Amino acid sequence: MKIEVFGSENCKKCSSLKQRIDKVINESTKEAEVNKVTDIERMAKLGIMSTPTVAVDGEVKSTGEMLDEKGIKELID
Amino acid sequence: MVFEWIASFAVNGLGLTGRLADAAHFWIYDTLKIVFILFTVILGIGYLRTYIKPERIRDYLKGKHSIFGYLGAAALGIVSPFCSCSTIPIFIGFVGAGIPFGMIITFLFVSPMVNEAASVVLLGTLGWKITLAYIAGGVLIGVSGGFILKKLGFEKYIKEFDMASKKHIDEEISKRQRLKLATTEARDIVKQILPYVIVGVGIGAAVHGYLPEELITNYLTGPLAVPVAVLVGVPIYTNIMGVIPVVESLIGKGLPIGTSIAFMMSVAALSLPQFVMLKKVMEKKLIAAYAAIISIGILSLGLLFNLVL
Repeated sequence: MKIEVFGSENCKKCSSLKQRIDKVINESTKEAEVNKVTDIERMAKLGIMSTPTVAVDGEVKSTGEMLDEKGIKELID
Repeated sequence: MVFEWIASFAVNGLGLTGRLADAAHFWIYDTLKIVFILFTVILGIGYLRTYIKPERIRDYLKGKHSIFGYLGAAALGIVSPFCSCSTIPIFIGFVGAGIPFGMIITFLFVSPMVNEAASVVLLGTLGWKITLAYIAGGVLIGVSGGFILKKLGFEKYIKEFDMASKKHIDEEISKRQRLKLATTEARDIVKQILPYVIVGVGIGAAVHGYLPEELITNYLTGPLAVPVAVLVGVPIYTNIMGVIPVVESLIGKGLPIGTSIAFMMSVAALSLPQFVMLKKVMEKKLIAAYAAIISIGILSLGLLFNLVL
């Protein structure tokens, strides 16, 4: 599974969400590659307007939300 | 109020007296008050924001050309989230959706200058007059700035993006889920801003307890003080919540309101990291014009408010 967290370089919320996702993945049995993506052109192509946005395998699953651990689990299940 | 009681209890408990007691009381009381207001406001706005997504506003602004479009863009700038890093994706979304250039720029002007939580904190610390001046001033600069840059043909300096512009479909989520999202957001944001508040109130407390009033009344009340305030404010990059308590103390010591607002706005509105972000979506000429309009706008507002308030 490929998880991408979209947000600008200085978006602290986006970095903390990535850390939160890393933690959930580490504690679960799932295998996933988690990356923070700052490429504006890719965000534009996906129509992303709110950050942090999370995409799983290229599909946008959550926009502009600071998901908690439960929300992340629902997203990757 | 309960914060007043806690602050007095702590100051008495530590056996502080004189100026130190004054400063410590200010520090404890203001930190508690600001954190309380911040959490409540961010929670409330965060809840409302689950209904008003930027995608929805984009759909609303499409095809609007009137003053209502500009005011709508300014209103979105006010309620747009705390982190300036979310401004750029919204900006690109607007460009891709074909929203008129002047409105997009209005949004970009107002977003860093006026902040909804800062407005409520200002209301709680400095009263309605200053709050109104802060909001109306920011909206005025934003709307006129957007209008001027459009008339001057600066639209050509925006970089082009291949943008997906899907119509927004609202997801059905329950009130409880919305509240949960808002609570998580409020908690995270307050945690992020807390250090700025503590340091800002600390500086405010030092000003409150130790800065001689004469220093301000003798040197910082003339018309030259406004440009100096802007020049000092621009290179400082910090959260506006850290600046409000400092300004609160300075006003208490006699700093004129216009000068105070100019200082506060210049700290929040212009910064190097923001220019680095803007560089990704627009050319230097537009960034320079943007910075010039904000600086001149804030300067004029400061001078005007010093005259009339």
